[in-house]
Amino acid sequence: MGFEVWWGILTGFDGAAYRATVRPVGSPTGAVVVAASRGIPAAEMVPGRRVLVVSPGPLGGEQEVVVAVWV
Amino acid sequence: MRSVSPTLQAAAKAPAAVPYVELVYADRWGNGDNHRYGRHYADPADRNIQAAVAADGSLLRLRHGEPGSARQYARVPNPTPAAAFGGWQDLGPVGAAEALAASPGPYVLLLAGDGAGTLTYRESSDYGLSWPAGTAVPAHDGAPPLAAAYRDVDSFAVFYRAAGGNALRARKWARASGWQPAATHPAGFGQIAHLTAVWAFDRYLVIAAGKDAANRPVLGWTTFDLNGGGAWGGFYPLEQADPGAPLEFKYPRLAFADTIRLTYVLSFGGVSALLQRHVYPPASFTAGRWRAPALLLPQDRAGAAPGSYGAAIAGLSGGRVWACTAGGVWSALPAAPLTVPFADILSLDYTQDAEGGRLTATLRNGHGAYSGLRPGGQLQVYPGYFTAAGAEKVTAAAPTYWLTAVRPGPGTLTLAAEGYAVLLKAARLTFPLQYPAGSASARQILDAIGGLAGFEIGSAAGSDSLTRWYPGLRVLPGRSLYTAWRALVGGLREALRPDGPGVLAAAWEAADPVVLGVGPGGWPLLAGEYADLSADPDWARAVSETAAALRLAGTEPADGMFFRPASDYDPGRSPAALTDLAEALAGQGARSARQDRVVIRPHPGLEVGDVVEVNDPAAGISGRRGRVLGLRVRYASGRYDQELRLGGVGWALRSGGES
Repeated sequence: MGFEVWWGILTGFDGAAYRATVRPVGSPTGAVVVAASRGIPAAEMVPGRRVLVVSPGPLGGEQEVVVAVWV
Repeated sequence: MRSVSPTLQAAAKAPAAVPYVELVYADRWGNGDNHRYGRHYADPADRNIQAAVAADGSLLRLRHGEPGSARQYARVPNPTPAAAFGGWQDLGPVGAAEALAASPGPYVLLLAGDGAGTLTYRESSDYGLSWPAGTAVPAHDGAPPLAAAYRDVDSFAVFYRAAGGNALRARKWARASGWQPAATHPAGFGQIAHLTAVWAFDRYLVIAAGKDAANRPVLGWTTFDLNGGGAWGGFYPLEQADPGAPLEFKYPRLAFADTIRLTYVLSFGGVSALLQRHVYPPASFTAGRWRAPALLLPQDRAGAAPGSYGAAIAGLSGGRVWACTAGGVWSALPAAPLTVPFADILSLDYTQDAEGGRLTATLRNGHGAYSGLRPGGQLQVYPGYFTAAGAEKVTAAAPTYWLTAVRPGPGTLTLAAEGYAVLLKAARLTFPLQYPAGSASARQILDAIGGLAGFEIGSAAGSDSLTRWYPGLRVLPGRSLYTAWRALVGGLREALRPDGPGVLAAAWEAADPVVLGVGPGGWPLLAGEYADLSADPDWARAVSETAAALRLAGTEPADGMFFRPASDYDPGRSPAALTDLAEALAGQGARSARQDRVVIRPHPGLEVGDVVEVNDPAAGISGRRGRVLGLRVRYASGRYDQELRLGGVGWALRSGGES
């Protein structure tokens, strides 16, 4: 299992499910929905901010999680 | 194994077998022809365009600017690159929306909406040569945009936005019964800015561009008139952007040429890219397997589109595909097969394996007949022999490759090509692809990935674990689809292997029958090396949070040693799908337990996945079964042989089966 890190622009956040909608950088279209670390306060998950996503492998899947938010 | 005639078998087995092989080139990448357009007409007009090919082959173009300006129409019978394309005639003032559609018979339809609820239509009955006066559509409730397509010579449908809202509507018209009531699409839209439609074999295919209910710019497809009824299908985005994103999908246009092709404009960051996609298979429209976007008609190295309004592919006429803008006409030749006869093949070396393999061929080219072969073209191999019936070859499900390099030499041309994996490696999307876990089966995802890359996947009996696994998957923009494909295939109980230009999913079971006996009394054996290995893995375990599956790949449990485990974790799999995963791993182990290499007289029908039985008395080998995991055929002057890489046949649950 090879871990992978990628980043993108946060476009939406579901605070109840703690899931983030992220548009990977380099793509003007399309977004993916991933889990968000519950260590990140919901108030920081503001659309337009950049987020770092850790993935358990090249396929992503359900275990991808936002681990950082900045800007 | 592909079918081989008795005369071909007899010739191959004869001591003095005389080889024969052909290559066939076609300018197509995956399942779509490479349309290399040349321009035949240019004027400075930059406005909207509609184009169609009438059933008599006439190229029909309609260009229209601001409402009230002149509607210009051109009809070019029997278009050729040298035809005069500048003969425009005025057909009255332009409406707020216009549509042009050709039937498979003499009828051609012109529609104009005035933007205030009146839709006027007129139908030419002489292939678009003359036009009657317009007639208002009764009880129309529409507003721009507008699209229309004939279903057959006596019926068509019109697609439009409902007046005063953003509902997508369709109305059918039939010569016998006239206009039918409108049918409203169940999906909500934020904006319907552009529409286009085509009859797609058994239903209308409609593309809408605009914004979805969440204000996201979207380009998506839907279907209407499913199975002859009046029902709409779902709306499926091809691409969509963030809500409010400064991005537009514009001027989509559908046409049927070699298959159904879509052109559209993606406008973002000050650049308007003219793109094309096509959907396959051409025999019926079902799953909507769209090829990844590709540029269409770039005008310079900056990729500038020809004009601001996209382009319309009109269709096929005179053996050419025609594409038009308001100020331009282009045509391209469909892929015509070019046979490379045996006499021109100096050498050939091709492999086949589960991912397609590779090919190298050197051709005699002093005559220049192959100087037009270009990277991106398709090459198929027809192997055979000279037989009592003449030159015989096997053409069904021919080994298929796509050219990656063309190297001219002194009087020769050397070609390098790769199997279907090269299509996956080349396919990189400009947008992310995501399937949340549970949303689609592995089969559906593989079909979609194959469609994006340009090939179809068939199924052999028993390949059903594909439909029991619902994996999560995400491919980032710019990444090749190959990585995702490999990861999915590695989790399947079935094997996937090349099958002509496509791929076949097949369960490789221990009980699969032997299709070829090799050795004395059977197919001529030239050399053999044999090796038994410990299966790796020799046992496999797949677990979720609540379930587990265990399978052995080594020899019989009672006398086996099991110290090479494989373990995988997938919390999203059902117990049945976990068992599939354990059996997938055990199957890999079972195949790894044998590594034989035999060289035989080339068998023109042998394929990856076939089971052969080898008898090699000199090596003490008798009745040894092996699965063809790879094969290599080499032809050159004085040489024609085939090397088989054989592994264990497969995995079996019951004791007594081979593992």
